[in-house]
Amino acid sequence: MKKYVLLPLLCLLLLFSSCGKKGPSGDEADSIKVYRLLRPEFQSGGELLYPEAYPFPEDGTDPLQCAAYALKSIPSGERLMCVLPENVDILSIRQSGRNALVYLNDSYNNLEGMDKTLVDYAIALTMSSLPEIDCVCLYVGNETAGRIICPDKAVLRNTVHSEEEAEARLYFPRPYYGDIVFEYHSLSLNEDISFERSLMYKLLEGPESGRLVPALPEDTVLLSIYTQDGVCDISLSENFLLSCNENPQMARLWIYSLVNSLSGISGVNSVQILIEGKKSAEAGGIDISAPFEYNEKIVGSAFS
Amino acid sequence: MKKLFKPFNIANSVQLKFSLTFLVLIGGLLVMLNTYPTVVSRDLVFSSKQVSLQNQAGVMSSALSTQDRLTGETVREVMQLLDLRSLTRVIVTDEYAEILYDTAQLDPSVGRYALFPEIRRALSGEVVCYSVYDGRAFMTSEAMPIRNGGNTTGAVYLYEYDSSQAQLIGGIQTNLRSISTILSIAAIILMMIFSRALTLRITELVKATKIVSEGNYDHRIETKGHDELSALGEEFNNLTGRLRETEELRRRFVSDASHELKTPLASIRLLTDSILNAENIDNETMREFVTDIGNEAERLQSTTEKLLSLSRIDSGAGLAFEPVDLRRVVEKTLHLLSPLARDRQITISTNLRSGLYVNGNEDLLYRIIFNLAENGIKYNASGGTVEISLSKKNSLICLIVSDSGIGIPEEDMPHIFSRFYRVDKARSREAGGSGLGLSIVCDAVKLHGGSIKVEKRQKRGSRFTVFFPALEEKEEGQ
Repeated sequence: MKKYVLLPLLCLLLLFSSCGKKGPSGDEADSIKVYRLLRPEFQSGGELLYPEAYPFPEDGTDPLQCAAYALKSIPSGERLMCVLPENVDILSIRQSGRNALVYLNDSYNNLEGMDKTLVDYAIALTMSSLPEIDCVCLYVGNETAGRIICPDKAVLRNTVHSEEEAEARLYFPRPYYGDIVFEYHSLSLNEDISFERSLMYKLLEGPESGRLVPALPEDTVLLSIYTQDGVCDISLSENFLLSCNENPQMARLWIYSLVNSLSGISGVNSVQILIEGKKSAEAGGIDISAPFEYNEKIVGSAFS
Repeated sequence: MKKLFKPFNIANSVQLKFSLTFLVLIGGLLVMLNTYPTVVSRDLVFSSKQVSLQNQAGVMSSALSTQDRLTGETVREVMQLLDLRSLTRVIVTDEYAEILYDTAQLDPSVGRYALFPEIRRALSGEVVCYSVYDGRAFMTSEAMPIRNGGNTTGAVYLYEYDSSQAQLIGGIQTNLRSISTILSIAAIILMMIFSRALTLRITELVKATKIVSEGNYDHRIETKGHDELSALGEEFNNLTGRLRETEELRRRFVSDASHELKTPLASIRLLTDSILNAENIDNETMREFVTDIGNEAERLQSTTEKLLSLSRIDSGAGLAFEPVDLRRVVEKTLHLLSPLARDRQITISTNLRSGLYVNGNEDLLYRIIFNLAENGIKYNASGGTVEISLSKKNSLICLIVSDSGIGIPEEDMPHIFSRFYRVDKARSREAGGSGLGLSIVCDAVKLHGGSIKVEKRQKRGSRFTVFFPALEEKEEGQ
C-alpha cells in the first residue's frame, strides 16, 4: 500500500522541482553554458575550461545578468571551480549590438599571465553561449576603452591527433544571423590526397549542427583545387555561379564559408574562386575575380 | 543390502575439482603472461618518451630563453634552426598563452590562445609530461616554461603521436595472445587426459572396493606404474587377499567348532538312545554308558569354555591388565597339574627366576602356562619329563616349556597354533583335546605383546619358547 502512495508523490516532487529552478541543471538544449575551470588536481591533459549548463531564467531576468551571476556561482561538479577569483567581480553588463559590454572591478588588473586570459575567455565563452552575443568587450574600473574578446580565438584543446588525423575549423552559414560559424570536423590525412581536397570533401558533407546550413549550394561539384604561392585556386561547377546569382544574400555566406575554411590550411593565404576553371567577374553581386582572404567580421560565435 | 557408498555427485567429483584447480592455475598464469609483459613494455616506453620529449623541450626552452620578449617573428627565427620532424605538433606561447608559433598544418592557431592544462601548468613554472596509450599509439604531450632572468616569458608545448612503438607492443600482445590460445587449448586437452586417467584409476578402485564389500574376495585390480595409486592398488589387493584368508579361516573355524560341538552331542544322543532302547540292560553296562555320557558332556563343556576364552581374547573386552609375578603363576599352575603328572608318572622340573613381572592378565597367563604344561604331560610317555624355566634376556622374559614326549612332526609345526588343528586326532581325542589349547596359548601370548615358537628337541619331545615384554625387575619379597 505504501508504495502506491509514495510513488506518485515522488513523481509530483520531481515535476515541481524542475520548474523555475536556479543553478546548474546538467546538459540542457536551451541553457546558458557557464565555463568553469578544471581543478588543478584533475588537470592531466584534455581541456581546461568546461561548460556547465545553467537554465535560462524563466522569470524575465536579463539572460546577461543571469550569466554574469552564474559565473560567480559555485559549480555543481566537484572537479570544477569558478574561473573568476573571489575578489574579481562583474559590476555590470549590458548588450550593445551583438557584443556584451562587461564591466569588471579593479581587482581584475591584479591578475597576471594566463590567469587573466582564462578569465577573459571564460567570460567570452559564457556570454557568447547566449543567442544574440558573438563577442564581449571588457571594461575595467573606470576605463572608457574596452578590449574585445571573441571566443573563436580560444583553442580549448589540441586538435592535431596524429600525422593522419586532425581537426579543422569548417565554416558554415547561419542565415538567420547573416554570419558564418565554425565547427570542428575531423579530417583523415594521407599522402594520396591533398589537405585542401580532404577539407573540401568534408565541407561538402555539410554541418553537424541543425542551426547551420551547407557551406555550398546544392549540387555544387568540386572540379579542382590546388595551392601555389599561398593562393588556393578552387574550381567549382557552374551551378555555384547560378546559385549565387539566384540568392545574393547566401552568396556572401557561401563564399566566405569556403574562404575561411580553406584559410585554415597552413600555407593558404588567400582563395581564388574559379567557375569551370576560369575566373569569373562576379557571383551574386560579389566580385570574385580576385582572391579572397580570411574575413573575421563575418564570423559569428561558435559557442551559442 | 547395506549401502556402503554415498550417491555419486558430479559437483563433488575429484575430476571436477582437479580440472577447476588446474584451469584456475593455468588461467592465472595466462592472465599474467598477457598483462605483465605489456604493462612493463608500456611503462618503459612512457619513461623513454618522457625523457626524450623533456630533452627536446629543454633545448627549445633554452634557445628561446635568450629573448627578453617573445614575438612571433623571434620565435620563428629560433625554431627554424631546430629539428622538429619527430614531433606531431609544437606550440610556443607567450606568458598569456597567446600562440606565437604553431607547426600544425591544419588550422594553425597563431594569434589564438592555447587554453591547455599543460600550458597553464608550464606557465606556473612546472615541467609537465602526460602520456596515454590507447592500444594504437602513444600520445605524449610535454610542456615546459620559458624563463628569462627568473621570469616566465612563455611556454613550449610538444605533442607526439607514436604508432610504431604501439604497433610493436600490439604485436607482442597479439603474439602473446596467440601463444596463450595455443597453450590454453593444449592445457585443456592435457588436463582432460590427465584428470581422466587419474580419476579412472580412482573410479576403478572404488568399484573394486564395492565388489569386495559384497563378498567377492577373489576380485583384484590391475596395478600399473609405480606411483601412489599403484601402491594403493597393491595394498588393496593385499588387503583383499588377507580378507579372503580371514574369511576362509572363519568358515573353517565355524565348521570345526560346529563339528567339535556336534560330535560329543551326537555321542550323548547315541548313548541315551541306546539306554532307552535297550531291554533288560544290566547295571554295569548302564554305568558304563552313563560314564561315557559324562565324559562327552565334560568334553563338550571344555570345548565350550575354550571357545569362550578365544572369543574373549579376540575381543579383548573385560580383560584387566596389571603387573603379574610369573614365577607365582607357574608355581600355582604346577600345583594344580601335579596330580595329573603323578598319575602319568611324569616328572616336572623347574628353573624359575624370581622378580620377573609382566603387565598382563593373570587368568590368561595361567591358561598359557597350564595349556603348555598340560600338553607336555598328556602327550608324554610314562616316566617322561617336563621342564619349565623362567629367565630374562635383555628386556624380554623367557618362558620355556619342554617335554620328552611324542613330539610334533615337522610338517605339522606351522599349523599347530591354528584353531582345531590336531596332529593325531585319535590320540588327542583320547587325551580330551579339542585342538584349541595351543590356539588359546598363541592368541593370549600375542595379546600380551609377546611371541611364541616351537622346536623339536634333539632326542625326542618338543620345546615351546614364549617371550613376554618385561616390567621393571623387582626383588623377591617386594
